[in-house]
Amino acid sequence: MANLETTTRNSVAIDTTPLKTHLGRRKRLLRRLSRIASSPQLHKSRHVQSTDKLLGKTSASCISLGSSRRCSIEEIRDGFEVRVAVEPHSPDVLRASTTVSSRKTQRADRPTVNPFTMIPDELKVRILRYLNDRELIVASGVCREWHMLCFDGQLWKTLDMTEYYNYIPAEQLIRIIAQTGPFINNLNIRGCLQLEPEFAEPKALKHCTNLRKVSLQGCDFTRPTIHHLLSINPQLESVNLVGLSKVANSTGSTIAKFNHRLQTLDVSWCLSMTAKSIRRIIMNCPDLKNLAASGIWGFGDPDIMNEAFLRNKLESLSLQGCDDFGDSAFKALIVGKNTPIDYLTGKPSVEPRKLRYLNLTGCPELTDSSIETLAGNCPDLEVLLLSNNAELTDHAFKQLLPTVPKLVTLELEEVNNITAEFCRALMDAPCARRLRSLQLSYCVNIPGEMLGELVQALPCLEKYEVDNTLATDDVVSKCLALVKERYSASPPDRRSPNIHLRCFDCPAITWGAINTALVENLGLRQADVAHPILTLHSFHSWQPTIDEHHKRMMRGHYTAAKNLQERWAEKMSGADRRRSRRRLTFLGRREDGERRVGCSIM
Amino acid sequence: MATPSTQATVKLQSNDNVVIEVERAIAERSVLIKNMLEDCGEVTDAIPISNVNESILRKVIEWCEHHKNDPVAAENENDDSRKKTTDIDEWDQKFMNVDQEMLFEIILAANFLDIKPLLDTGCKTVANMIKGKSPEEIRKLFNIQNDFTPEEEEQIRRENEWAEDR
Repeated sequence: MANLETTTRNSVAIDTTPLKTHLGRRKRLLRRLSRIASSPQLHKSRHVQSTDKLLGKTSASCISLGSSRRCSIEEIRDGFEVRVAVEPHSPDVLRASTTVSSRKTQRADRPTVNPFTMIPDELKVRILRYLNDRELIVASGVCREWHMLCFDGQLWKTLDMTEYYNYIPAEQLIRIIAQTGPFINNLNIRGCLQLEPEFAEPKALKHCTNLRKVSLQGCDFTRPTIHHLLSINPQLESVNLVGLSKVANSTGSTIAKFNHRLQTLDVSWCLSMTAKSIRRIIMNCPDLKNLAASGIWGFGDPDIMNEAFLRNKLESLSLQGCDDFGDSAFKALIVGKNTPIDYLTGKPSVEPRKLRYLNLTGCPELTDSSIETLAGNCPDLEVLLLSNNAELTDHAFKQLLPTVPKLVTLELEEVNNITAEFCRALMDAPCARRLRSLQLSYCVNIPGEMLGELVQALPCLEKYEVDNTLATDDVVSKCLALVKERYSASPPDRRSPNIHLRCFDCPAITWGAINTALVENLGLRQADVAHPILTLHSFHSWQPTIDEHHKRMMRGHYTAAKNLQERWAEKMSGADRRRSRRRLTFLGRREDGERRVGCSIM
Repeated sequence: MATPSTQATVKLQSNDNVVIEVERAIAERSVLIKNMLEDCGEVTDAIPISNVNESILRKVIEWCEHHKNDPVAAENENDDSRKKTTDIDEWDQKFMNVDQEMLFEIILAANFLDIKPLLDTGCKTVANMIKGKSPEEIRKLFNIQNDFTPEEEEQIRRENEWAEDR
C-alpha cells in the first residue's frame, strides 16, 4: 500500500475510500513498473537499498523518492487496514513517473536482476537441496557461483546411482566422487559396471572416508579396491556386496577388523566366501542385525550359528540356498548349542529370539525338527520363507503357526508334503488375522476346496499364489467376495487393497471363473474408480487377454475392456463346446452342464 | 489492555514504519515472534520487523493466517527424506505465484522470522523453477550472468552432457 505514494502524488493526503477503490489498478500498474530496467547501474543502486524494497522496486526514476518520502501512520484498524498520509512530491518526479508509466507495456517475466543475489548462500543451498543429483550436475553449469554451490558438501550426503547407473560415464562418476567423496554418507553405485576397469586401482575410492552405507552390488571391483574402501570407513553401518566374485574370506576378515559398527551386511552369492569369515564378522560386529549370506557354503557348522545365538542380535537372516545348513546348525541358532534342557518342559529354556525375517528358501537339509525348535522361540517373526524345502510336513507347522502371531508373509512353494492339516492349522492360528501374503504353489497335496476356505479365513490377504495346485473356481470367487467385503467394511477415506491371485496352470480353474472375475472387476471400477479389484494370473495363453483387459480398465476405457472380454468369452465358449465333445480327462471332474452354466454368466 | 498471557493481538512494525496488528496465534507461526513473546511476556509496543517491508509482511501474514491451524510439523532436519518431494499444496502454489523478487523476499522474510514451512514452500517453488531446465534456460529465467570462459563452459558442457535431456 505504501506504493501508493508514487502514483498518488497529486493528492495531498489519502485517508478515505478512493484509496481502496483504485488499489487494484495501481498495484497492477506498479507491478508493471517494477519490471522496467533503465540502466545497469541503477540495478546496483537498487540492490544496495534492498532493505527499502518498496521504493527500489518501482523503477529507476523513483528511487530518489525513497529519501524524500515521509509517511505517517494515521490510523490502524483491525490489524490490516492502514491508511497512509503522503506528502506531495516535486514536479520533476511527477514527470519521471509519467514517462515510466508510458512504458508499462514492456512487461517481461524475467527479472531485471538475478534474484539469487538477494539471498545468502545458506538459503541458496537450501533451495538446491530439492534438486536430485542429476539436476544438481546440470545446475552446476549455470555460472561460477552455482558451480561452487552445487558441489556444497551438504548436498552430497547421498550419492545414489540407481537412476543413472547405466548411462553416467565412468570418468564423470569418478569426478563427482572425487569432488564430493568426503561428504558422502550413503554411496550406492550398484550396477555401475563401467567403473570396473577404472577401479582396478586400489585407492580409486580414497575420497570416500565418511561412508555409513555402501552398495557395490554387481560392481566387480578388484579385491584390494574393496578392502581399501572398507578399511578407510570404520563407521560403516550397512554394506552390500551382493554377487561380487572377488569378495572372499579375507574380505570377511577386513570387515571384522575395521567395521565394528556394522548393522547390515549382504554378502549373498559371494561364492568365494565361506561361512567361516561370517563367524568372524558376527563375533566382531556386536550391532549386526541384518545378515544375508545366501548361497554361501559352510553354515552347516553349528559353532557359527551358536555365535549368533549367544549375541541374540539378528533380526533378519537370509540363508537361501545354503545347501549344508541343516537341523543342528538351525537349532544352534535358535536355542544354542549347549543350552541345558529344562526338566519341566523337556525343552531348552532360552530367551525369545529377535528374528523378524527368516529366509531359508531351498535349504534341503532342514527338516520338521528345525521348525519345531522355532516354535515358541520367535514371537516377533513377520516373514518366513521356506519354499523348496521338501522335507517339511504338516506336523512342523501345527507346532509353529500358533506361536507366531505377527506373521504377515509365508512362502511354502513346493513344500509338497503339506496337506489340509496345514490349512486347518493356519486358519486356527492367531496370525490368520494378519497374514497378507501366502505362497502355496506346487503344493499338490492340498485339496482344492481347502485353498478356497483359506481365503475366507485370511481377512487381510493381498497376495495369494497357488500355481499348479488343485485350486478350483471357488478360489477365484472367494477372492472376489473378499475384495468386495473389505471395500464395504472399510471407512470411505481409507482404501482397501487389491487382491493379487496367481494361479498359473491350475487345471481345475475354468475360463468361466476368470471371465466372471473380469466382468465383476469392470463393474466395481465403473461404480467407483478407487474400488479395489482382483488382479489375476492364470493360464499363460489367457494372460495376454487378462492383461489387456486390466490395462484398458485402468485407463478408464470401460467400453473397450467390455468389448475385449465379450470377444474372448465368445471365443472360449466356442472352444469349450468343441472340447466338451472330446471330453478332456483333466476336466472330467466337472459336469458338462456346469460348464455351460459358466458360459451363460456372460 | 489485554490480560497477561492471553494477549489477543500483537503489533508488527515493518521496516518502512507501517504498523500492522494481527492475531497473536497468527503471528506465532513465526518462531522468532513466538520466542520473543514468550521471553518478554506481554508486549504492547509494536515489534519492529527490521528486515521486512510492508507489502512482504502483509503477504507473510496472509500465509500465516491461512496456515494458522496447521499442526506444527515435527522438527526433522534429515534432509534426505525431504530432498525428493517438491510437492506444494494448491493454495500455496497460488500464493507463491508472484514475481521473482517478491518470491525471494518472501523466502528471506520467512528465514528471518523463522517460519520453516513457509521457507520450505518458497525454496521448493524456486527449486521447481530450476528443475528440468538447461543451464542456459536457468540463466535466462533468473537473469544470471554466465561468467565462465568459453573454454570452461565447453568443458563443463562436455562433462555434464550425460545429465541433460533425460
